[in-house]
Amino acid sequence: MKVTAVSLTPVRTTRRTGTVSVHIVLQLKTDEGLVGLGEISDLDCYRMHLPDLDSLQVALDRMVVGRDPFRQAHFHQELFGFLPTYLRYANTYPPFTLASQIAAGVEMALYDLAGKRLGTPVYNLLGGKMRDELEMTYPIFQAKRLEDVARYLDLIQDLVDMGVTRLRYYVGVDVEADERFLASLRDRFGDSIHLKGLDFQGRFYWKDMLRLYERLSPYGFDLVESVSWAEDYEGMAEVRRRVDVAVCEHISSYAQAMRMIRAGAVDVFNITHQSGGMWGAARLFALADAAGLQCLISTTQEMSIGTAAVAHLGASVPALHFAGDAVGPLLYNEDVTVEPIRYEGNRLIVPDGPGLGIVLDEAKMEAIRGSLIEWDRPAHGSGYIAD
Amino acid sequence: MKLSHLDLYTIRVGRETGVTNEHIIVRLESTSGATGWGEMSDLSHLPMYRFDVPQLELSLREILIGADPGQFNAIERRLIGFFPDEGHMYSRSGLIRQGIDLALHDLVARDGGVPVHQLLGGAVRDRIPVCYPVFRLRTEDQVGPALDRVQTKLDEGFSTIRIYVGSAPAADEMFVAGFVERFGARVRIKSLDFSNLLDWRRALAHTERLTAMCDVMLVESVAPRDDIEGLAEFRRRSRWPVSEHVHGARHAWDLLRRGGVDILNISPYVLGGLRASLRIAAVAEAAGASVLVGTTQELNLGTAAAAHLGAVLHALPFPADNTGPRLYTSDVVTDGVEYEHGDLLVPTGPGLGPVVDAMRLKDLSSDGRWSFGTDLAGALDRTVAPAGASAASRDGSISK
Repeated sequence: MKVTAVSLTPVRTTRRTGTVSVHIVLQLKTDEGLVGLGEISDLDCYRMHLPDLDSLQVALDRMVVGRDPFRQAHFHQELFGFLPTYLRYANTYPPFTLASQIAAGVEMALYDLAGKRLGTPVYNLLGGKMRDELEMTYPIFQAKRLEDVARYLDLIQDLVDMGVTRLRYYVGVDVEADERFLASLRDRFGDSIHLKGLDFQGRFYWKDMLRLYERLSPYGFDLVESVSWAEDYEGMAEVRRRVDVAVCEHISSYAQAMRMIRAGAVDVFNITHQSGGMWGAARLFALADAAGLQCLISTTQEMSIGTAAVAHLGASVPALHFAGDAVGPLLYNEDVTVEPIRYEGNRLIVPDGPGLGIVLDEAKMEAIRGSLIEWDRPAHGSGYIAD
Repeated sequence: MKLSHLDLYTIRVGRETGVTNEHIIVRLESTSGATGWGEMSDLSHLPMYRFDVPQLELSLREILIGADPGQFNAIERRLIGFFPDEGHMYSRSGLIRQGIDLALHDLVARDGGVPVHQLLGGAVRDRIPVCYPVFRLRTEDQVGPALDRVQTKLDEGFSTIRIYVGSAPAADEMFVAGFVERFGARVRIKSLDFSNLLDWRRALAHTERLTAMCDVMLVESVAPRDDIEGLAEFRRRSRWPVSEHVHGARHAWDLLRRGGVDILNISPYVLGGLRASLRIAAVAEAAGASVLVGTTQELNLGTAAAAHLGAVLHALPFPADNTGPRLYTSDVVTDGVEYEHGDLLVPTGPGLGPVVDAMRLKDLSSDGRWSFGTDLAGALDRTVAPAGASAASRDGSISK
């Protein structure tokens, strides 16, 4: 089986919060008639330097057409020649680059083809299934002012009604609002909400973070994330020595993972296939395992195609010590698949169909086709107009 | 004075080696009518995911229009928020920030009628020794033409070279042997540059073999990327100073603290312009280390900026690498930088020095679309890859 054509469709989804995310849906056509699905997800992180779609098309035509979908390692090895940095060198946040996302999107479609050709789910190409479902966590972005608190509590009531009871919360923009929110959360929902962690977003000098941690620790959470400046591994290690919960950090690349390990910076690797595909992420899981660290599986918030890749990777890794973060299909109001990937309460159900186990709905995809470019609209990743 | 206009021009410029490279020229204009020009140099290093230029232009306008161009620090801090360090060379963020940083300095300096170095503390030298690159040899057939090229450059006044090595050791040895025989003491070798191709042991062994035949001033990138321990092992064992490209302040600190280098290679295109480069130079100075000014092969605007940077550094003990204007066959400026006896002269005109010519800008403009042909390996390597090119050259190495 050989890939004969690459089709790219830019689409736009809205989030429950009203912000817009843009994605590119990939379809790899083959000489056997099978079509592989992939997704380059949530490109708004790169709002400042979005890819040129025509150039991307030319590049992927050259890189992917003619490829045998079963030769995953070979694909990555060749891609390293053209995108030398992805998976190997990247800073902490975001834990992926445009290059790594392109790699992940194509790889996903190649795996989908391989699985479909064999009539087996992708997890069987990754070592087989360790679990049928993955625990997940819904993100609550920071309250920016005290007035946000009531609105957030209403949003959480909606989630609870859907059966979603595990949250993570971003802190640090307005500490008063953070504390008010967490206190109100416990007042209203008690312990029925599981607060997995607080994400400090790399905003703090580690000593300042520790004071904030002490102030917020009565509200109960299992881990803290991004506890010091992005490259301050020693600062993270200082925090780790002093707190009672696990210290977790995004892992972007081999280089950064090794720095984390050497510095004793963290307890938990937060790993996403966006750093270099399922193939690459599996290597980061192995690195954590070798270093005696714990893991959770993360996300950039994909639609159902990309979330299926999270599910297959998560199904096949040896251990997941904390709940993961991939809830894109719950965040977005639109999707491009016949059925969205399934959640039951806090759990993501691993698809059992062949390949990724996801079926594209072309009409839904066409309905949300849209340009990547549009500066004026609100976007969560821009840090500019974000809500 | 406020910034009122920002425009980006994508241009395509050929090199004497036959390849073509894309750059973005930045034009800023203020409410008082002052203009400044900058350069995002050689974007062809990023062929697989080139950014959308109209979108970039839109974003930068949104961020910069209305700002006081003299508020360098505030503008830089804001830009870093949008275009953070990416943890490696050839980052888009560094190139974008360099383009803006250069244009801001050009604008403010032109407006004041002074050269850019006066905004950076003032020049302590009026010329900077530079070296000419001998690109990585992949086959022994390439040795003869490479030696002939050294002669050509010597005739043009460049008496210092740097050699990219490590891909085909036998060819490297042939080259150095031939070089010693033909040029002896007339041409100096600034460095052997391994471009992170080899682990430190193999790089050290190769260095020993080559430097048994000739002296060098330093060696560069003698361990895999990010392998600071490897650099340190090499540095302990070798009598030659070790240099490595710096891709951020934290990286500079790590390289120095862990004994990985004697020299920091500071390149505005990686670090995001002049001010970011000066901060790294200060780190090196505090650590008692040296710096050298590196290149991605800039056009005249970028090369002029490197000259202003080199002009203000307290100590600049090693030749710089900035010979881009001699490598490219055309440019967008009229008054380009000048070289004399192998030195890059620090421009004395206002601003960066070179003056952008509207006609030339128009002639070189490209539509900003893919233009790298079908040979992706050649696009990445900046060469047309010969048949049977070695695997190493495709394995993530980028020779200039």
